[in-house]
Amino acid sequence: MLPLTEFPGFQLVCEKSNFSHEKTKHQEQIKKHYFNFRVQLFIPECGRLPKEMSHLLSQLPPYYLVRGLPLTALLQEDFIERFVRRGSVCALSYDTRIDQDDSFALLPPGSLLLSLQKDTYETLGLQGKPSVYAGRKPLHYVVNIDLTSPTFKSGKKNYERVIWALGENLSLKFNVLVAGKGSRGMDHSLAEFLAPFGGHPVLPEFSTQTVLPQSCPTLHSNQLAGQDMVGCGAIELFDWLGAVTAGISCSNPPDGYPSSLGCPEPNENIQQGFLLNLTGLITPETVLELLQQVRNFFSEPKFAPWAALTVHGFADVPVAWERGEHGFHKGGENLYTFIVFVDGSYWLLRATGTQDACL
Amino acid sequence: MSTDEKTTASYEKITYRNAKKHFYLRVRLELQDTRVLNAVEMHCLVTKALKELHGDTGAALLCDLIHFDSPSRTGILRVCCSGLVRVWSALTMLSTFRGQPCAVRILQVSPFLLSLSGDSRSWTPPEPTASECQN
Repeated sequence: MLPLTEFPGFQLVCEKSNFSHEKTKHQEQIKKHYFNFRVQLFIPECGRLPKEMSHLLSQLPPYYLVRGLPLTALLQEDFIERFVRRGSVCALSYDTRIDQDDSFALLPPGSLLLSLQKDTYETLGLQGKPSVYAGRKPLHYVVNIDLTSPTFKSGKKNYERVIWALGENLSLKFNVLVAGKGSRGMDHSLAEFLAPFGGHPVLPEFSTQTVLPQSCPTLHSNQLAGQDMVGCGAIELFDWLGAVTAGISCSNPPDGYPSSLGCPEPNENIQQGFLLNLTGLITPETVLELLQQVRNFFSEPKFAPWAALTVHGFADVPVAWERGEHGFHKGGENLYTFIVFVDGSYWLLRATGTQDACL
Repeated sequence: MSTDEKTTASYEKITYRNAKKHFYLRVRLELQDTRVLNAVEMHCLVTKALKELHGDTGAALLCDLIHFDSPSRTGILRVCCSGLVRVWSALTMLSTFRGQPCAVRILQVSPFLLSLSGDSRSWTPPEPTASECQN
């Protein structure tokens, strides 16, 4: 029996760099986080949506929602050739819990990952491996199918076996979210491909709100860990951002009852703040464009000393970052935040729960 | 390049493992009574649950109700890491409030308050409108 004082492990990785730094990896970090569920932008001392963003939000590419999609539809040679080999499509099952149900993800450049419960795996007849979080008696398995492999073609043994297993043998169907690369022509053809299966385009929903005057942590871009009486560190800021996005006012000194939550020290008062929420299956390319707009926002003098762009990943994905397996243990959090400073430097904070690989 | 600029451009990485003091729980109270509950009453309920299951040591745990939405009876609790199991178990075992049957649903648990504002498990994609279906 575990002691009552045990708690699940977690990790917060904080990095400080500059967008003009020759070895900056901000683009790679965004591109390898495939399945983004919500993007939040917070700008202190800003009362409305910056004009740089409004144009981008009106041009957002749709994602597609298909109910009961047979998995074999994504294995058709036509689909693989048009959207996997020559394009960049990602797909994810939803309404499936990774710790209880079967689920799958299709991620660029062409890996189909099946995350299966033991019974399904044993009936399926495809080779996989136990989940790295499964322990000695695995109840959960992962099957990886490389759709771009030269042997994955009609007539080849490998292809026919997969089609048989997922089609005739088990006939796996999922509710699926699909997103394309973003080029206009390709989006159109993706809609055409999914239409016979009942797929329809959905635009990411967005909402904006103005944050009331409150205390805001003082930050110095060169002090990632913070310093007493000078500036707050990344870890304190991360919790404060959580309070702001949840609509919790961090009064200072704290009220005491029923909450003793206060703003980290040192802090300063802000007159207002702006919060944007964008929800849906949001591609890394859209996140990159948003980050670019945040950087453009600071190209002219502004009252805001920094802006925070937070990206939440789906909790139930087989892979959150790059190729590292993702699981759900008490929580399935995988999120990152860019703190963009006026001087072109940034902090990148990546947070994960117990079952995730965030290097 | 000045010294400040060099400092600004330099790369730094810090990894925090299990290095936070608190866990956050998003909870919802289910109660037959339809009257409006306020934050203080909800906090009393949590303290009562802790005392019932873990006695005085449980009741002495520092557990903040940092947010409470009365209409939906949903709130966010902040508890020290070592108290997570006790708070979770106490809320799960709670079955009555002022003589009425009740249940507390634990909707989300995380060491990061920020992750509570992005719960994909409670999200439902929008259904197509009638015009979209016709198209």
